[in-house]
Amino acid sequence: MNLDGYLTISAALFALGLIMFLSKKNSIAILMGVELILNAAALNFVAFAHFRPSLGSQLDGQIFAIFIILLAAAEAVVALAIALAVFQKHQHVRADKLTELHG
Amino acid sequence: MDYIQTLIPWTPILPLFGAIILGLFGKKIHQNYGENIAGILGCATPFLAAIIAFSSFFYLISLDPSQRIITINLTDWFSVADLRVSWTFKYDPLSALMLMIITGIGTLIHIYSMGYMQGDKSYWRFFAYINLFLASMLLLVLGDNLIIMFLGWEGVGLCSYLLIGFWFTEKANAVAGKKAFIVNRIGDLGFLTGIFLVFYFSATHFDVVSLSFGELEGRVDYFSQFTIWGMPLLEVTAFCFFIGATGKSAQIPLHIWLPDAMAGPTPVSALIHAATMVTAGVYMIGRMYFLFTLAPNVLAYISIIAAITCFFAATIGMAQYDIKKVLAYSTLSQLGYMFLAMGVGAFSAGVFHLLTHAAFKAALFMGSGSVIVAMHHEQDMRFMGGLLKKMPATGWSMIAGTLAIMGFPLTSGFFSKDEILWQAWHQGSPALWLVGFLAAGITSFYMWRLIFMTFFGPTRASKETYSHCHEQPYRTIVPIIILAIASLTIGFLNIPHFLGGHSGFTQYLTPSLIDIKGPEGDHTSLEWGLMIASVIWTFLTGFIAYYFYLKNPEARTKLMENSSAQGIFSVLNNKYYIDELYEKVILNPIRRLYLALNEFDQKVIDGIVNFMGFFGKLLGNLSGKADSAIVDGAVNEAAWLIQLGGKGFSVQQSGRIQVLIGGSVILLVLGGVYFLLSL
Amino acid sequence: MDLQEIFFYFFSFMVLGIGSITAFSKNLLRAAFALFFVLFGMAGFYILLGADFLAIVQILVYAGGISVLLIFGTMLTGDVSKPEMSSPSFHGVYTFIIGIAFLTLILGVLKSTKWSEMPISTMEPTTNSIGKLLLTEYLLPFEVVSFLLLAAMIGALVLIIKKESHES
Repeated sequence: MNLDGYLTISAALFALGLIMFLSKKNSIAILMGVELILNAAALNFVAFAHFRPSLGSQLDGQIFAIFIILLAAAEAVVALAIALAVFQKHQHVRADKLTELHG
Repeated sequence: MDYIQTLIPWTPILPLFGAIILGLFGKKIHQNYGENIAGILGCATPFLAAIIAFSSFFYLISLDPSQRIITINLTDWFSVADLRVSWTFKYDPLSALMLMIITGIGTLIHIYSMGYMQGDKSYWRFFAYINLFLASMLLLVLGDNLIIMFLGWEGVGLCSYLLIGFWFTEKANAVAGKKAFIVNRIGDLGFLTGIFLVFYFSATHFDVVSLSFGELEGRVDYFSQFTIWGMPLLEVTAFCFFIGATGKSAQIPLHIWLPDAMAGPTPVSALIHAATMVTAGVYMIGRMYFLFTLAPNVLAYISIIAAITCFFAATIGMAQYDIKKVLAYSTLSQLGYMFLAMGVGAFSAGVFHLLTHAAFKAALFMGSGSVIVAMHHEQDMRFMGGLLKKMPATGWSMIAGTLAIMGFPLTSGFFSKDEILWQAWHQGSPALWLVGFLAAGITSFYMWRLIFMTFFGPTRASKETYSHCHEQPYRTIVPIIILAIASLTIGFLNIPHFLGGHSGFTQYLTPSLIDIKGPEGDHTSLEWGLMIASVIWTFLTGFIAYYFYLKNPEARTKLMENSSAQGIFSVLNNKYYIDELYEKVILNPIRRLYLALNEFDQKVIDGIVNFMGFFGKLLGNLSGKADSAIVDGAVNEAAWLIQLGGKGFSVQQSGRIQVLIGGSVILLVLGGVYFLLSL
Repeated sequence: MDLQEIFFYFFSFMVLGIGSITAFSKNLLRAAFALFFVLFGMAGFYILLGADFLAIVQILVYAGGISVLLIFGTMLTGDVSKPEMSSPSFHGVYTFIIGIAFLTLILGVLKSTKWSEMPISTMEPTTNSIGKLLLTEYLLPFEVVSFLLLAAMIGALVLIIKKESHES
């Protein structure tokens, strides 16, 4: 309810997303982690927009959060398309087994 | 004077030349020209030296007695600080006498050896050595200072060793030579100590020291005030010199080498161990009479030792079977007589006995050599007997020598020995006389035993040997005969006063030696008494020998069945077990010490060396291992680390985004922490 | 405690709790559905923060679109019920540690910074303002984003269609 709180939540969410991102083997799970991270960031923006407005208008943070959502959508689409394509080829989407591009 | 000055130095030089030539070229001469040439060469040098000696002697006695001490200075030798030693010879009555004895008997023995050593393949070597000996002995008696005398002293010791061990391929001979040399050496230590003492005191109190006898004679009165190690200097010095004489002249306790020295050829025994080398001790005391005169305690000690030696050796001689051993112990005994004379201060009597002994003992030895050769190198008297018919010249010469040694009236030995015995009583003590007296009887006994066993009675030799036995050629027996005649006649040189003579010999020696005079007074009756007692006693013991060995041998065998007689005999036969005693008491501890030191050397010193080697090897191994472990290890480690780093870094290149992001987050965290902390 | 606080705690609990489910669930479908609810929770936060328009957009787009898309993807790519779908291995421990470390770092920074807060203004409806802003100040990003969305769509189609045509 004050900035610290929201920022804390945001940080925790970010950590959760990070953990998920780093530890999951399934590509979709990794994407979910990314989503969480993005959400945390958005929350951060909105919290700042609320408690400490920028020199511009007060709603800069919110605008940014909108953009984040939009980008998340685009990213999710593309990622899922890739995941499906990979699934079609390899019959799995396990990240640790997808090493064709590995040097 | 010029005659002597120029010629006398040649007397030692000629035999020295002979020795060098025979030593270097003797083998060639022997091989190419035959041994006779080598022999003639070997005999020529002493013969020439003898001519010089005898002619110089006659020249000397033509001089006034006060002028008879001639010093011949050849050249300087060395000078170090105060010490100035030069090659100087002293020709005076004493050395003239010695010169004649040495060269005269030496030449005869050289001629004799030509026959004795015939056929020996080292013929040339023998003559080389014996010439060298002659040169050394002449140097000894001619030397005017202690250093030259010591040079000759050592030289005769060396030649004695070389000649005793002449047939060194037999181990026993080499051992005997070694024994002689080593025992001699012990005596030489005393001699050297004496020289050092003289030098030390001379150098500290006078400017120049030449160690010559004239200088010593002048200073000896001055030295009589000093003490060293709590004892009077002169006593200590005289004692040290006497130790040298003990070694060289085989007195107790250093007598052990002389009987073993019989392992050498018989001419060697005759020359060295009868006539000359062993008498060097007597000569030395005579030369330094002035020193010994001022050391009465040492003289007393000398006379006691001499008396003991005299008696003791005679008893052993009674029980020996080897003909040469009997003569060897006889020599020991007679040396005892000489030292007894010197010990009681009758220096000229001692020298006189030296002369007579040289004559008859050389004759006896040469005669025994002749017998040995004739009996095909048989030396054991138990296998002889009845040889007089076969070898009359040798036999009668030996009988002549025996008469002399027993002191048969009017022989040389009679005069000399009686003089000693009288002086022993007169200037020593009756106890000394008694010992000498008893020894004289024993001497007569064993000598006649020798004669009877060898020349008389039925032969115990094998038939073959006996039939081959014949008289030796002239060159062998003529020297013996000459000496035999000498041994019968020389005595008349020194007829004592009580018998109507002038003691000419003593007077002759006076510029060189001055006897210590005993109590004055007319002792004619005592002298007669003692003389007659000795004569009767020696006749008695001679007769005992005759009885037991010739007339009634069964009585002897019966006597010997008695166990105590056998016991006494075996003790005497084994020389009172003195060699065994020395072996046990002295040699064994030394041997143990040697073995211990050898152990020490092998274990410790070699052990250290081995350990060093082992240690070096260990180090080598370790450093090898270290090299492979550490150095290679380091290299391997470095490679491994790089690999690890590479692997680690290659993780970065995994291509997996999770890893990449993970790495980034880690770095971010770390960077953030660092940043936070540094704020 | 006033209502705002209660709601704050409620929503934070929701987000973090269900977010934990998302993060640590072995079952991917469960995780996907949990994500759905997390996003609802986020919308709640936005409302609390006075971003009403944003909250709705979040629900519509994020929760309704993206999350559903993820559920679709989950179902389409692999067997849902099998646990191997997403199982953190031991190396999940490390990631956990990393995450906690990161969290600690951020929290540390947060706590040590003095945020100067402006007085809370009254909450107004924002739709109007956002619309205005989007078309004035943020016009360029707006247009770019729409272009981006278009490209994304086309790209996704290309990816899928190409594959299909190769298959057949």
